Amino acid sequence: MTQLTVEKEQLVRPALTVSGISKTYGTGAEARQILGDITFEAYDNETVSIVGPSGAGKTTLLRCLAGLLEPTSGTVHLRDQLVTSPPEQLAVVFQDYSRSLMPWLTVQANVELPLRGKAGLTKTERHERARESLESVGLGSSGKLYPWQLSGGMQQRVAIARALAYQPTVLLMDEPFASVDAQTRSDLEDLTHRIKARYNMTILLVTHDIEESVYLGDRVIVMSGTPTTVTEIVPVDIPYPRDQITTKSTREFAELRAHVLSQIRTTTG
Amino acid sequence: MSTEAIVTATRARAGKTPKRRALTIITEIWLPILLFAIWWFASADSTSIYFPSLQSILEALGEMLTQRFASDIVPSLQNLGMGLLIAIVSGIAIGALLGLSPGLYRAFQPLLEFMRAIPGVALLPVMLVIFGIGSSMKIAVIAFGAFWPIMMNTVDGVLSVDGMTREVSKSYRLSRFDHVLRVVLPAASPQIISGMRLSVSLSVILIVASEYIASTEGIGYIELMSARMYQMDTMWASLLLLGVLGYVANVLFRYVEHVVLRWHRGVRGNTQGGQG
Ligand SMILES: Nc1ncnc2c1ncn2[C@@H]1O[C@H](COP(=O)(O)OP(=O)(O)OP(=O)(O)O)[C@@H](O)[C@H]1O
Ligand SMILES: [Mg+2]
Repeated sequence: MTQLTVEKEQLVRPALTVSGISKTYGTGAEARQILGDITFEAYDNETVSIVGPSGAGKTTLLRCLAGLLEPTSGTVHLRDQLVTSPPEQLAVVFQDYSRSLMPWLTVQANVELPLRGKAGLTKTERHERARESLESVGLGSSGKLYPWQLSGGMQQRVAIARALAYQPTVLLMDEPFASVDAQTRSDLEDLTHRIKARYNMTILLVTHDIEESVYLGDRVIVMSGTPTTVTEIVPVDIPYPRDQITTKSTREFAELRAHVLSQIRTTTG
Repeated sequence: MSTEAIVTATRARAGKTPKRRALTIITEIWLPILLFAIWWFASADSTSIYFPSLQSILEALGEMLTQRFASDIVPSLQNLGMGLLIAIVSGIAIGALLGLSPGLYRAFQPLLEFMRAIPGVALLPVMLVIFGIGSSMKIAVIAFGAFWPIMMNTVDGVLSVDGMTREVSKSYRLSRFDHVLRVVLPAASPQIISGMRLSVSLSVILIVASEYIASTEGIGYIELMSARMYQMDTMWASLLLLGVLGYVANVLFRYVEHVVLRWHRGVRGNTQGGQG
């Protein structure tokens, strides 16, 4: 698996290339540099976890990658294309799911909304695609409901279904499971594994949960410091399929977890 | 169709069980019936020219509804509907445009605040000069007066659309059309609707006022003429009719609001801890 991605990397450019991103909010005396010189790549079919303390600038970084925010310096490439505005091959699952869904639209209509702009999709195809991706997150029968009629975990799955239906090559997720209970969280984590196995996507997952970063990631990018930089990129060579109980109880997993944790600890002091 | 709508609205408000539905209707209706009965009997053998019996008022109303329906009532309703329609369409369109282009809004704001401060009725003589006696003048007055609350509320609503909502729209590359029609305007709809509610009341005032001035038709015209000729029963009948029309307009509007803002109630219900 890892072998394969390495070979691909030599043939074509990575799915996502981030070079020297920095971001300063405000100007003059008010200026605060949040991100300082962030560089990394994400390859095809790879899940990259990004961990860092709260306020480190993870959301800021993701917004730069998504073309929603212009970095102060540095560039983002999607394959060969320079990102200056939201690219078509990229979808975002936002941190705050309750605000990211449109409460006036049904679940089905929410998932279909972004597909309206996709060229060459008929109404029936749009409908079918949305239904399919709702099914893949286990919400096949909730299409007619409204987001506010669903639990938090279900709403987050709708947001994921919306991103999947968009069929991006790169999926950005900003602490997608931060505000759901532990059980729902592990369900959604396993859902992410299944999505990864089924769709060919590069997934960037921002999280502040170290266990989650290791469980879901092929690599973990540790971010910290002021301004925030990449302190270490930790490869996670745990084979798939991964499982909540067996994977998390292996020594390998425990060691990686401890390693990432120590990385964050040492750099935040 | 409209009665059906009203019934549905009442039902929906009343909750789910038929028992509670019936109870709600009874609670809402007993007082008006009682007051009507009191009015009927207390005025039964009235000899006052100013306060005729309810029976003669209702007879005058019946006569008005049969004989002057096409000549006066229909034109009143038509002008009202037309003026309101123009105000709603242009108010939402211009409000959305200004709300989506803050630079434009800031440039126009002082002018808009000034024009909004002009009472709608003050336009009557002006419109009379421009359009002459007739429907156009009344429609223009209503459209002008009803435009402001809708337009200003639309601007407010559009400006207060959640930043996250805009971000979603942008990151999924929604077309300008979808962004406005499926995201921004629905998000602003609670404010737009409350602006429209104001406009409905305003336009009832304006239609009557416009019919007092240089008019040859309309319910307001009937009222004014009958008062001048001391036909008190007809005068009261037209007043009664105006009240009923205003009430019906309000009920219809509540129904529209009920349907359009279902999601809004759902969201609010949820944040208060209930299940939608
Ligand atoms: N639009 C903005 N203008 C000014 N400062 C901002 C803006 N957005 C974020 N910041 C600041 O940038 C810093 C990083 O914010 P960001 O939301 O990216 O952090 P985060 O790592 O995602 O945190 P969390 O884990 O809590 O979500 C914070 O100190 C925040 O106050
Ligand atoms: Mg964040």
